[in-house]
Amino acid sequence: MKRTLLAACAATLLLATSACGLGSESTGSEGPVSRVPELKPDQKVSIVFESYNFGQAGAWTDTFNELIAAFEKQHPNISVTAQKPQGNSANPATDTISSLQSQLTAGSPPDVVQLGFSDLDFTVNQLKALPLDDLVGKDAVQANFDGEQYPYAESARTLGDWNGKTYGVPFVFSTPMLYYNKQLFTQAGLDPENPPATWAEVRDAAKTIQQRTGKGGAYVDCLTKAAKDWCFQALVRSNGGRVLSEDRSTLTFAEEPSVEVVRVMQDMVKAGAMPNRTQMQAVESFARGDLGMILESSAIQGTFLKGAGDRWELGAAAMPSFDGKQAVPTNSGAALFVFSKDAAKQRAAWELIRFLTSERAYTTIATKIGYLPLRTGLVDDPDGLKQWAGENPYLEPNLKQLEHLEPWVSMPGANYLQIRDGMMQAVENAVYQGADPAESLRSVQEEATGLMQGGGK
Amino acid sequence: MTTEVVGESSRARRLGGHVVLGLLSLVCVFPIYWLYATSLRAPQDVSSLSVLPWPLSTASYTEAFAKNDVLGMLVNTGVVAVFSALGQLLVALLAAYAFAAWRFPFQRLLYLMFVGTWLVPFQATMLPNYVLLSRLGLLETLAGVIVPTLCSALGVLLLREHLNSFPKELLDAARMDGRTSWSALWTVVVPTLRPALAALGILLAISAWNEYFWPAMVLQRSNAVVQLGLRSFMGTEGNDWGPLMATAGLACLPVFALYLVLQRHIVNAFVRSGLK
Amino acid sequence: MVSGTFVEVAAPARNREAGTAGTAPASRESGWSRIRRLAPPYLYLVPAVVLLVVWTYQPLAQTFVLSTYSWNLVPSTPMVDVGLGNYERLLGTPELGRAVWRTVVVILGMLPFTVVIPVAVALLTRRVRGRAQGVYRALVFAPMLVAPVAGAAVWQWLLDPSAGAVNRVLGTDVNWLNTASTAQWSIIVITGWHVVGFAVLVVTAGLAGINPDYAAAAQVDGASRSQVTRWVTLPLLSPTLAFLALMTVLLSAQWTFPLIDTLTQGGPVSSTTNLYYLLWEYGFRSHDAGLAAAAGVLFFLGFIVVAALLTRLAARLSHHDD
Repeated sequence: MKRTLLAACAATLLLATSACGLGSESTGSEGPVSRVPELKPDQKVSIVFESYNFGQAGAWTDTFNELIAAFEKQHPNISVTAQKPQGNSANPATDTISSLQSQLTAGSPPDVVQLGFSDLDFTVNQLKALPLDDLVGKDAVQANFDGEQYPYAESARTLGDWNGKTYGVPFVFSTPMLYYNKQLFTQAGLDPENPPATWAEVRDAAKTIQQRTGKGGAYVDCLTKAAKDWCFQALVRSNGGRVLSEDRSTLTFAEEPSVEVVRVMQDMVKAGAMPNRTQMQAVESFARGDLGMILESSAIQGTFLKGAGDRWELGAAAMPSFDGKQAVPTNSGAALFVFSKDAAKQRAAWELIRFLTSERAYTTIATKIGYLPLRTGLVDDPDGLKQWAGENPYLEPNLKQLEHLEPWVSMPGANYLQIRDGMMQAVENAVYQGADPAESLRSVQEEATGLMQGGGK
Repeated sequence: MTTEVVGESSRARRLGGHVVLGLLSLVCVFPIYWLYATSLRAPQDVSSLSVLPWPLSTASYTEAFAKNDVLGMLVNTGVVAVFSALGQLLVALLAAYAFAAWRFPFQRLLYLMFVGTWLVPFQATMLPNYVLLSRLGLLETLAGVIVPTLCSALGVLLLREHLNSFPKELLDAARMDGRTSWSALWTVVVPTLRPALAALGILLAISAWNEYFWPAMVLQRSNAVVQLGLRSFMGTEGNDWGPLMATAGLACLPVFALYLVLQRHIVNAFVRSGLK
Repeated sequence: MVSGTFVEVAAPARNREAGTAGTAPASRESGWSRIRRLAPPYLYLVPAVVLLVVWTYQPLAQTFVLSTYSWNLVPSTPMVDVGLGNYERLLGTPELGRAVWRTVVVILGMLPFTVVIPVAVALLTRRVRGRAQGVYRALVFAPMLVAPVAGAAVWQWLLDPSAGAVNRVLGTDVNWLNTASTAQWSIIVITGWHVVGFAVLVVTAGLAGINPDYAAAAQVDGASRSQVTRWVTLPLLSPTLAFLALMTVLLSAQWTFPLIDTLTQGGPVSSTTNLYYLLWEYGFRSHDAGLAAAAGVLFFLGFIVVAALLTRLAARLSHHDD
């Protein structure tokens, strides 16, 4: 009895002293951010740059290293340490937010962080990314967007903005493209130079391919939880609907336009035009040449070209539209945010961002990795990317889509991830597992609405 | 070693045994064969699903070596595995000795504390541990990977079992000679326990070699251990299967070799303890 | 009272050595020598206990405390005290009940791999002679040595619907990992593949530890081989089997975790989301440190209950050879 008592006392003591392990010091938000002065030439600063692209050994890491080396040469007083997000997911992009959170708690967040657009609300309102307009002045930010010669595409400038202020400078993005296997098209008796332009045409072409060649027809990589909601939003917008009301107060993904989208896709699966595959299985299947068409992010293009090799030719087309309506693609991608506390580091961070989004950097990124440069004028510059653009026929549909591009809308509140995942789970359930689209979406929307109101903690 | 107590096996029974075991072994080994087969395929065939890799190509290995400092990673992982195992063995040995050789107050409670660690999920402790490591300045170091894992509950449990069945007469003899408990430990107990310690050490080393959760939290700026190096071939834009399989294949080899060499010890050690 | 090998035997030795020089009687032992007598076991335990406290129990306590707050881990954001609100939220999810059921399914599905197959293998290995035993054992143990990530990747290919080896051998075209009804079983089989070698090892050791005299005696009494196995060997093996069963119940959810994380991410439509994964997801996906902490604590408490029940059950059911 006495021993149990002693043990209980020890445990309580442990509990009491443990509270001083983690915790927040302040009572409320910090004051407004003030403008940071320029760095003096002999002022040494070292900053940390975190990007999920760093996790992968390959083109990105090499390109980043090249750019950082060039940056350090230009700014000898700034040294940059690069790192990938901390975490154990197979896909490092999944760990970006939790990595940032852990480091914020430990008191030493990275200075420049690359975060996806889907996390924008959380990044600005919860993680308190610094407003660049206040940090370096709105003119400086806009001057960077204008660049020396080639400004950002209009639709790309505001992707990292919140309530009129710029928090993140958009860095990379991609749009949904319809990739197709020209060889399979020919084998199925379809015209490889005339890819489908509407979803009805996609359905017919897919069925033809499936019947005549035995390979998979078409796969729309927008309908699973793993795919996130970026191109599902594109599909819904293309059908005239929205997943979130424009004032961000109501969820609308259970309304008729999105229900219809889900029904069309479910129909394709039922008719055998779309095989039941996970995102990974579908990408690999297409790269292997076992799938006719795939609606996929243009960022994966490199993988497809590699898989095609010299066995089959890759074709690319704009995202198909719904009959009678204009297709509205949304952008996937990420922006660069600043999280430093120290004024000198903040200034250094801004310099790095400016460098990474300069014409020179985009030229390197485009040629080495294949991403579309956000400074779209570069593709017309003979000294810039004109030659590369000529060699890269897939750019054409991508560039054309920019005109109708709309941003990937981030879900509101602290529970945004659960809302998004719930929505995509309902879509997946309907399309691949045969649940009723209207009912499936409606019940999840109800649950998620509760999360929205409860959010804001 | 085995006790064939019920007479000479008939041929048929032996054959039956071979068949079943053979099938099971095949199922166990086939995926491993696949791993190596994929690593030896030509780059464009990597996704191919044909059973035999042809043409053979070492391109994946070359790429793996080019993209990562593979030898360095293997050495680092080896360091982590060896030091983790040694550290865990030492700590476990001392603790098990205490439990086996004395009877003292709070013994049961302390024992439960060790068993309790099996019940604590990783996510309950990872964040505070990360913050503590950050404060100690051990992030991005191999020490930071090793230190939090030094107390192995499995080690303590197994060694305690072994020590409980340790012949008491040996210990008594040591006492008669007037030795302290410390010297008795090192001159009498450890030499007799050597096979068990070796076996446990190998299991702990293998476990540390394959560990990737904690290293992923601590080592953010480099792929110091090979499990992280594997992940560097996985990313947002698809996974690079060829070099990934090549690296994985290389990562398995040292452990395979170690196991084959020391297989007998492991089984013997388990046998002697008679896990009850 | 500290007693045991070292002290009990030491006492007479001390008396003998002391001889007639008048050793201090036990009742007037000096404080220092008392500590010296009582201290050793604790001293040996110090390194282990310090490590446990610093790296396991103190963080656990911190997590307990954190679970009563809602906080997004940003130092400048205040921690909002929500008392038991996080627990209510977790216990109130409809998903929780389903996840518990799926966990039970996982455990039941793993038992054949950790108990039934290893026993069969260990018994069969006794039939084959010499070298072959070592070879088979090594082959069956091999999956344990493969890195989890690589293992998952290979299995993903083997289970590929269009041309994976499994479908080719069986002649089917099921998408094993992406069909709600088969995903869970695929995960169980892959996890089982991983751990069967370890279980075989444990059972082999257990078998070898059984005194052969029992079986011999039964044979003398005229029992057939299978009768001996059934009535003598297996009961004597029960402590080992109980140990394996306990490990399976406690650790199978953890064993499946890396696989689920890499291959199915809890899907399709939550069919592979067992309790461990659900709590992980809930905590991780919500970016709310308090909720994540509550999930961890809930799991810990649940497990204590389960472990306690099982240990009691195991003690009652197993026959000990003493």
